Amino acid sequence: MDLLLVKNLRDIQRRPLRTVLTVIGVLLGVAGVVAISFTGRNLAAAQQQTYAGTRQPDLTAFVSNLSPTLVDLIAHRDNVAVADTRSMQYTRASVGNGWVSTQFVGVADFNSVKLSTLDLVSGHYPERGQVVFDITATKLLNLHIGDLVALQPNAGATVSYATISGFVRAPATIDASIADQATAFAPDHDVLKMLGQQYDNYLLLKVDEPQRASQTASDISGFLSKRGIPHGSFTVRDPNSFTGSSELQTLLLLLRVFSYIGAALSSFLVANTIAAVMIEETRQIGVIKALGGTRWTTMRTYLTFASIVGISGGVVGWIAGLVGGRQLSKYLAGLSGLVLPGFRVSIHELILAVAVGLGVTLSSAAIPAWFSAQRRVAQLMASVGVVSDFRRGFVQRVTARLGSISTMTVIGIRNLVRRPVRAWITLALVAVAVATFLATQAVSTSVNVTVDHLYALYGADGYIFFDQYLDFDFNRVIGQQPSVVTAEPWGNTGGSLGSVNTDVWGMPANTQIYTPRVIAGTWLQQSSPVSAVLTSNLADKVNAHVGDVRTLDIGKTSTLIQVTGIVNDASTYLGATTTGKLFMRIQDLQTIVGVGPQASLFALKLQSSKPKDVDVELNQLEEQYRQYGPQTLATYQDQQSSRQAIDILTLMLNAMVVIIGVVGLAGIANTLVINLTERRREFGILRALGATALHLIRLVMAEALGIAIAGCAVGIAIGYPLARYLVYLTGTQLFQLDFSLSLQTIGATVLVALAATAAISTGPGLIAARIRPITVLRYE
Amino acid sequence: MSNRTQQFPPNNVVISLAGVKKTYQAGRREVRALENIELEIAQGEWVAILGPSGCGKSTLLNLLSGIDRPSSGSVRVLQSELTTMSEEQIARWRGRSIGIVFQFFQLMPTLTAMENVVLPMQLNSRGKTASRARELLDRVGIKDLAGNFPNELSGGEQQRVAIARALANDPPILLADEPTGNLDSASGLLVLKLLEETWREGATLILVTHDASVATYASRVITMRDGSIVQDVRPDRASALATSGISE
Repeated sequence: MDLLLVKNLRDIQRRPLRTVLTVIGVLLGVAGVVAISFTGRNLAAAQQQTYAGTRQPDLTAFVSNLSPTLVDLIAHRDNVAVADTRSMQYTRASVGNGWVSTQFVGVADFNSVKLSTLDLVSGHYPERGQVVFDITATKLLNLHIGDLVALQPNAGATVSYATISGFVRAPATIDASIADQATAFAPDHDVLKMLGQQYDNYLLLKVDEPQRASQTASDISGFLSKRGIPHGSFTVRDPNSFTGSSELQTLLLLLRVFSYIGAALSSFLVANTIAAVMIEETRQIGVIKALGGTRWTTMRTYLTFASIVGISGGVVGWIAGLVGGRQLSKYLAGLSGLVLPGFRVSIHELILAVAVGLGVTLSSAAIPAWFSAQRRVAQLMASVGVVSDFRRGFVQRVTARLGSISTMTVIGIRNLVRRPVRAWITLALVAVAVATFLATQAVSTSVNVTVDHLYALYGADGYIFFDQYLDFDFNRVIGQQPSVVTAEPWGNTGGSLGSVNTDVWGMPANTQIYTPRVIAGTWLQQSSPVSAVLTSNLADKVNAHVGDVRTLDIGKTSTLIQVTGIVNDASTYLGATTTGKLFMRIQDLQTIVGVGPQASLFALKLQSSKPKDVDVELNQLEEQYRQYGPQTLATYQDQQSSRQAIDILTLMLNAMVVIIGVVGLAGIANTLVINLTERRREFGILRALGATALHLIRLVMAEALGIAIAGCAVGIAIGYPLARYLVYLTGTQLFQLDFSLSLQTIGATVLVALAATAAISTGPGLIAARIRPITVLRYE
Repeated sequence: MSNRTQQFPPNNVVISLAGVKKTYQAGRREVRALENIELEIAQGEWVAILGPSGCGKSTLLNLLSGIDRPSSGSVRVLQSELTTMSEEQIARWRGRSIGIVFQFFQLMPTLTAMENVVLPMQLNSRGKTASRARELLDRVGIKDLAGNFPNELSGGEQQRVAIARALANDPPILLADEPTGNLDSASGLLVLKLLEETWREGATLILVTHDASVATYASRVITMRDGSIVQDVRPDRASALATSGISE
């Protein structure tokens, strides 16, 4: 066996802790990259598999009174392949531990569902008086088969009861824990009874040619409007998009960025270790060269060590990455209702693992190995390896002035500059970890702050929908209710500007509820052509400017609109597949859709915005206008739901930060262990002079905290632009974000970094305390 | 006369070793470093432990400071049985009871001369450390070098800092392991003078050396060979000092 290889293997055995820490660093770096790659590939496959199924509807919309005749007429329209209906009531459910918002879906016949089929997980499909819940609802409610569940549309409504007969999973629907909403399925009869209606109210369509889906939606929307049938805007399924896909894509993008940062951190770790080994073995290198070893021999010796570390970390990291990636894929696919394909190992991830593992270790080891190999034998033989001298400089001057701090702390701080390269590498490691931590915090707070800002634009505390159109003036009737401050007739439908689909909103020009943030031109006005205000993202997408005249298509109607203003409002909703919004006066919108001065939707500003009060107030309104088939939506619930969607992003980012944090801490621990090994004699002497374990822990901790404080300072400096970039990146995927990074967040980050460093340094500190002076003095 | 002398009257035994054995494991081979050592040292004695390299003298010194532990036997120093104490207890005890001077000085490279002297006092939670350190550096004649780092000092200067450090906590026992072994003759003489002064103030001084001429300054010379004490004598100091240059 090659003796240099034997030496390497024995050296690994000689420095087990350091080797393990380095392998862990490489392992985490490789595992992160592999897990993200694996997850991305799996989710893409899951998306394909889920949506390749012919049972997914291409178009969905709320439509009032879907009588069999109407459904039959729709089913025979151009490009419609299959039509199916549901009855749907937004209600709330309880099994005794509080209410949970619940979508109550009625199915005519569970055995002949045409679209949005259900997979029975356990139990059996419900009969009258029974329900089945989507299995993810168990994350919100403590549900079991046989339990009696209470269902109540709102606080004042009659409570009805049903027995749980089983659990299902509806493919391509969002996890209940994200939507903060359970889904229950029951026989049509039970839901219609609760709705107080005769016919279903939710339409599902499969089209023959998906590329013409938008056109078909417009066509059917026009068809319904002409017949005076109130309906919501159609949701057009994008084959390349799925519910929550933009959130998942954002997540994967950010995770990918972080996985690369993690790999970079690993390379610091390896470089640090190899550099330390080279310093320790300077004389040995000299001896090898004196015995006839060439530069290449030296390089080979230490690159072999790096390869062993790289391959070990790479292989274990590959396995850990696959396991982690599988779990992450399962979790994310479960949240989005995607059907995950079976576990399959791809050569792609193996190549990636080996490339990252070996690439990181060999490239970072090559530099110190090269420098050592260049030195002459005489230089190498004369070197004492560890230089014990300490030169005067900035650190000496600063610590000399700190008269009140203990000498052990002074030693710890001054030790930092004895190995400047190592200190810089470790500092960079901490800085990158801190910067990443800050950036992720900035992303999550920015998203949350933006959601708050967006909801602040919509001053409505709730909305009331009717199953029929009512005169605009009905807002005054509603406004007379003591709980209502303002009520405004609003309208909403889908439309398109050229090939770009968008949401069209109608509201009074003098709206008291919506607060437009006009960034160009003016807010809505009466004009000809029709005045329209575009959100900035829509204006960018269609390249529209104030004063432009464009054609807006709603259904089969094309209308000329004039862009009078552009507003900053990038609010969206989970699963949105349209771009931005177009606002127009409610009178103009309703004229275009052909319903005249009437509306079925009214936005409400209530006396109290407290969730509890809003529930009561909305319930009173539902009771008051029962004859018009009302349904209400509380804004706070909608906001809560948006927050939940963001929470998953935050959760995943935090998980990534933990991995990066671990690599960072492994780096500090590694440096401390290396320092410790080099300075065993000094620790022994301190022990001989009467230093206790606590003294030595304090010394090691001072050294670690010195690096951490400097690392935090640099981390904050680079963290800010990184945070800006990641928030921008997230904004391009989700919606335009308001950047937010508070001083408290920075303070908390620094505290966490210092606390973690202090904690991790106790390990090497205890090792130092265990050094017996005799072991370093024996051979003096 | 110092407080130490009052605390430990002459002829009062401060160090007592009974049946001490020390063996090392060198691979599969067992090395006997000390063989059945019986020794008593009284307060105020200057004991030189003399012997060739590898005879066990440094091992014996390390047992006296609690830096090493015997394989068997009892090591009683200043009424403390070291063999039954934990590492932490020994570290604290050593800080307040023993001053150690090493052959290679063993100063902390990142601390100045002054800070090196302050260090044991801080470890022992003593107050007024700066004034005491200045006083000690003045006493060893390097007050002006207080702000220098060890690598800015000569070997003799470093050893003088090490002596000042050893005296920092005013220990009743001073242990010196080949204190002149790494110095030129002039520096070595100076160091011996400083140790002599310390001894005269009442400290018990135990010095390990392989140099017979250094041993002659001691009030008692213990000669070791192969881990055993082969001779224990009290030579005529007056004649020895007359030829050494150290005045009585």
